[in-house]
Amino acid sequence: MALPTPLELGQLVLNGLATGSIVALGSVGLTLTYGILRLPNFAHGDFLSLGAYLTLAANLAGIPLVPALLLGIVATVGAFLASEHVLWRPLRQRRATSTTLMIISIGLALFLRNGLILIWGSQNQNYRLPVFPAIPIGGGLTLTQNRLIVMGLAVLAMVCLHALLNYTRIGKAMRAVADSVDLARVSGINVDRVVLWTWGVAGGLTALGGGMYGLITAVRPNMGWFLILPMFATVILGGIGNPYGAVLGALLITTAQEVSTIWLPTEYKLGVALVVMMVMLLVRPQGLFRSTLS
Amino acid sequence: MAPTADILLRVEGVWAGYLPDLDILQGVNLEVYRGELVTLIGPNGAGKSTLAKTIFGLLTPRQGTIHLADEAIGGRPPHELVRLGMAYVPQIANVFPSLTVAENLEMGAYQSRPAGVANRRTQIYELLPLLGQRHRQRAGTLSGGERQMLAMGRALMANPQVLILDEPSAALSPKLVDEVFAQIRAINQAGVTIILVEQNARKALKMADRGYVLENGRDRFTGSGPSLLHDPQVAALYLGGRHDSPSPEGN
Ligand SMILES: Nc1ncnc2c1ncn2[C@@H]1O[C@H](COP(=O)(O)OP(=O)(O)O)[C@@H](O)[C@H]1O
Ligand SMILES: [Mg+2]
Repeated sequence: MALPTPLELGQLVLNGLATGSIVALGSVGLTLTYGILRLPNFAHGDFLSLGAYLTLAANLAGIPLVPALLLGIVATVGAFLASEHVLWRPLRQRRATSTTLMIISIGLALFLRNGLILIWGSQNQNYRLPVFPAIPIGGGLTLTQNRLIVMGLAVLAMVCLHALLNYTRIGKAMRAVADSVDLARVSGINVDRVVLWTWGVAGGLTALGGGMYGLITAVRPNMGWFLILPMFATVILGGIGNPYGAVLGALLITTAQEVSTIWLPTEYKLGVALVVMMVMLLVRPQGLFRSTLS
Repeated sequence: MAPTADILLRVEGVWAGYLPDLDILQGVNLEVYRGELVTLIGPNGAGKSTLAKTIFGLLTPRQGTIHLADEAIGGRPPHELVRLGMAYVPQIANVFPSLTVAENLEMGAYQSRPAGVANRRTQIYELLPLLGQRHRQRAGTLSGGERQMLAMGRALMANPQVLILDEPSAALSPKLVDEVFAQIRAINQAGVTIILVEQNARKALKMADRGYVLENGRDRFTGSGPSLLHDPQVAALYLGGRHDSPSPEGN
């Protein structure tokens, strides 16, 4: 087995952190909707792809990247809210089991992905952006400007989320609903409104992740679908409903995936995510962090 | 009997349940006058918690009506009931475990103006000093008695006119039960109308103005606290023997 040089290893970890930021954004969205709405949403990855495509569409229409990202986020949140309105709320009212919800979400995932192919085709596409050289960041390591932007925006988004959850009325209500829906109701919290906010926040983070994923890889119809397993692994590892756990889980799993490419063909990355999850759960069945569903 | 105007809460012939074809409540009636402390007793599974949940809008009556003063509230969502001055402490899961004590209290006044919330919280800390000492602690790390105090504090945050308590003494040591009962009496004397669901039937009847015995989803007996306590039939069926025997469910 070839041992990597420290430099190679450092570079892989660095690359893993950039992808990890994307997975973290998506996973935080997934863990919020899973923990607060009790919805194991397998269409989550395809909403992430939708975020990338909507950003791409805006960008190719001549809008610079950052406003295009914002447009992508707004439109994707709209799509998340539409799914709540058309599917999830009626299903919750009929007390659908979480298995039913999961299977329907797989159907929605297929619907979304094929919609993306129908509209934008199945070929790889890229944002219209000037190309920048990689930036040396010391010790022989380099980072592309895009990866730097991705990490910076992800950190910013997480700081905003932390502030929202801990210092705002609606954020605390979201945590309260995650703890107990009935108690939230009887405390006077309008749970339906909290649900909409949850979709808004989760959808916004996920779409931001998708839009930025298009910066470090090509925009393609299955980009989000291939992230759904790492995202679920991350969510379970980090404790369902726990956004901080999701961030750490994402960084852990994607770094492990990148480093594994030293020894394994890249096709095995998904398998690595699952193996990491399984090994961790064998050691710590309750996940690394506290879940809100228990 | 007091005139109708003094009836704060009235449940008339209510049927309700969880599963489509299974009625748990089968035509139950309940009347509570303003300022009263009314206790609801009865065997396990009689439907006491179900009645509390139905009054509080977590279940919709299939038949019958519920009125708060002159307003029909049957089937109204809980956040509207809170606005009308009602509060409820469920039997289980009555605190938010991952929120701090202070945040739990804040959730209890979710609909109040932010400025009022801080004031109200200070008042609750004066009433229940233990909560003040623990205000930054997560509710999930509190002991059973502390949780029960927090649950009551949370319900009082919105300054309710009527408070429904579902078995606040469950799983508490006898000493803590007395403490919780003393709190309940104090809250009632401060003017809050109270509906108290209890397993500790004797203790509850001793303290209550009136009581209802529920069985199979119906109100089987009703009367003043002492009259129920001394009713031989009630004593034999629901208080575990003669009225002067020691309480079997004291702990
Ligand atoms: N969430 C639920 N779903 C279905 N049945 C329930 C539920 N909660 C309680 N029940 C049933 O309703 C009946 C009355 O329960 P409950 O109101 O909790 O009784 P009590 O509080 O008087 O002990 C019981 O037969 C119980 O099994
Ligand atoms: Mg009960």
